[in-house]
Amino acid sequence: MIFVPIIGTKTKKVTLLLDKRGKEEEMVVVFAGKGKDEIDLDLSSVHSAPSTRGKITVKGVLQDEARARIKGLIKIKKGAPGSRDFLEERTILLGKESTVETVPDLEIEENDVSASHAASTARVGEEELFYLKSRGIGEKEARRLMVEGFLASALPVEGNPGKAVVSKLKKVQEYALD
Amino acid sequence: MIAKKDYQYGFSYPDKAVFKSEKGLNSRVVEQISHFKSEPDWMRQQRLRALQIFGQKPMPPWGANLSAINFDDIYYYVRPADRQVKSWRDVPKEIRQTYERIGVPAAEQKFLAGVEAQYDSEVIYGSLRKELDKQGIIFLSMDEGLAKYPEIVKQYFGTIIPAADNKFAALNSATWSGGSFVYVPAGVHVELPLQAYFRINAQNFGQFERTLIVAEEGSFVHYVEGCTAPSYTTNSLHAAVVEIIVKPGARVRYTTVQNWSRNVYNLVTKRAYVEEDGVMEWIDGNLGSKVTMKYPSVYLMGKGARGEILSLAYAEEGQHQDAGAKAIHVAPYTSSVITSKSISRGGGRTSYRGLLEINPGAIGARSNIRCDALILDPQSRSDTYPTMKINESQSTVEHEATVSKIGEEQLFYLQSRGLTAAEATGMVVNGFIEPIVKQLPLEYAVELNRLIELEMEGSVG
Repeated sequence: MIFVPIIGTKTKKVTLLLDKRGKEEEMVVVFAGKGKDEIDLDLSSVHSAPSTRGKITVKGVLQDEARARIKGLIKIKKGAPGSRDFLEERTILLGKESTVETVPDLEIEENDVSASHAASTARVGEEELFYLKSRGIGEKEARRLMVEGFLASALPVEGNPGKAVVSKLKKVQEYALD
Repeated sequence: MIAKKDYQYGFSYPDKAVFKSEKGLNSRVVEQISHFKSEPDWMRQQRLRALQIFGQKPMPPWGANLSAINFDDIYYYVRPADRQVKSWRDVPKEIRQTYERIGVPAAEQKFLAGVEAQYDSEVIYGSLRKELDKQGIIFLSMDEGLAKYPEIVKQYFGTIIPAADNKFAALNSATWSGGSFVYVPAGVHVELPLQAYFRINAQNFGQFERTLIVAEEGSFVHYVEGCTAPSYTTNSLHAAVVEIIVKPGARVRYTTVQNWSRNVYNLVTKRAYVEEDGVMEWIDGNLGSKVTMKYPSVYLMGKGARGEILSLAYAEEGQHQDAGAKAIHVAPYTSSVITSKSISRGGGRTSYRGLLEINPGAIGARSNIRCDALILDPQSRSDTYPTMKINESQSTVEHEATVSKIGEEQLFYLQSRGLTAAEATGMVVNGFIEPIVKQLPLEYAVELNRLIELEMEGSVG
């Protein structure tokens, strides 16, 4: 897994090249912005060999007037049948003035494939907050739990991400919340 | 197996137009169009300004390949004469069969085939017209609308889609002819859908149609244009503009099914402004043409306004359907739902292109976008290009898209029940587009399902 933590203003372009039969790549991007931070991400996975697997998960939190632009692309070229990919771009807007632009593109030139993407933008869910508060957790703590959990959920469910990844994730979580 | 080389259901009738403007576009041609229609001066001026804008605007740098369009090789205005009536027997057998298979009524078949100059709907239309008049509903061609109600037309024409919006809107504004003018007074519900082809003397298949619909407060109207059956035109460029104003609490539904012959560039700008608590619904089906670029839009201007867009695209060999939708949330508590289904086959290409914008201050806005694509063979292609600009944090946006082929298991199951591969494919495809088809008027839905079955017969085995 390629782990990309982003804290504050940054421009980042990453392309997963799936150019050998059966090649698999997974990328996880977590970002946090606040103040007048500007985050610009350009993430793509390009399949040019058969039976390749790609997965890109992006989750981020924006405070204050922070802005993010997330351009994503799954490209399955002719000659890459049997390939699969999933692109996920999710953002929570905590700041009143924070904004996000998401562009998750798909370009598919083969038919025996499965490619999909999902994107969402929302505030911290009122219902989830209400649930936590009803359990006696204070509002601030509830928000903290939700933001931390949201960012951590970008990591794969299975396997141990390792200490290095966990500590980097923590830094993003801290930046997002303080 | 149907020959794939030519537009399989295409045919033409001899060209008997009495007046043709010269080829190409210049201010003389535009003046001539305006003169022939005896238009008021402000419209003539507006056309000429639009012509200037057309000259200055670049071609869109994105989207489908439009490099083959030669603007100098087009007749911009042809005054229709009574069409040459030819015998039903002269219509090619395959076309007659197609009509029969998809169940087009006999009278309509003759109209579509050019055997009759007009769809013979005088009787139906005559009684419909009386009903409409009683309720104060105006339903005319745009040309008649301008002549009879110049003040209403002047108030709204070009306000939703100004000539400067894009190159093809400018072209339409300079050369428009035909299209519909619909005005629904406050509180009036139009019971029957208004069908473009029930209108007498309709120039249904005009090149540069211009449609304007004004739905006053609390009114409702369903407008239907196009048809599932293949329609033939020698015009290689179709650039229409449709403007809709949905006043507070009103609801407008606009259904289009286009099946242009496969030589046509279909470049259409459609937009609706929706005021407080108004509802706009676009149902947009694209089956024909060589290239389509069309993105019906809803501008949600008033609190609580709602927009829904259903888009259906089908592309075969040599076709590129670049279709999609736009929703712009300007006011608080507005909501939009966009559903797109596309099918590409035999080397066809479908692209979903969408824009969602939530402007600052549109608190509580919600949007849900779903795009599904089916690719039937390895020669075909599908793209999804959604752009989402969220400038208001107190809003919720969800978007999902998938691209896949038909499930082997589904096909296997159906075949094990005794269906042929073609029937099974047709059934799966019909199931895939069903969420959109079920919103179509019944006769369209039936025709569309049969058309898909017919297409699939040519594709498998």
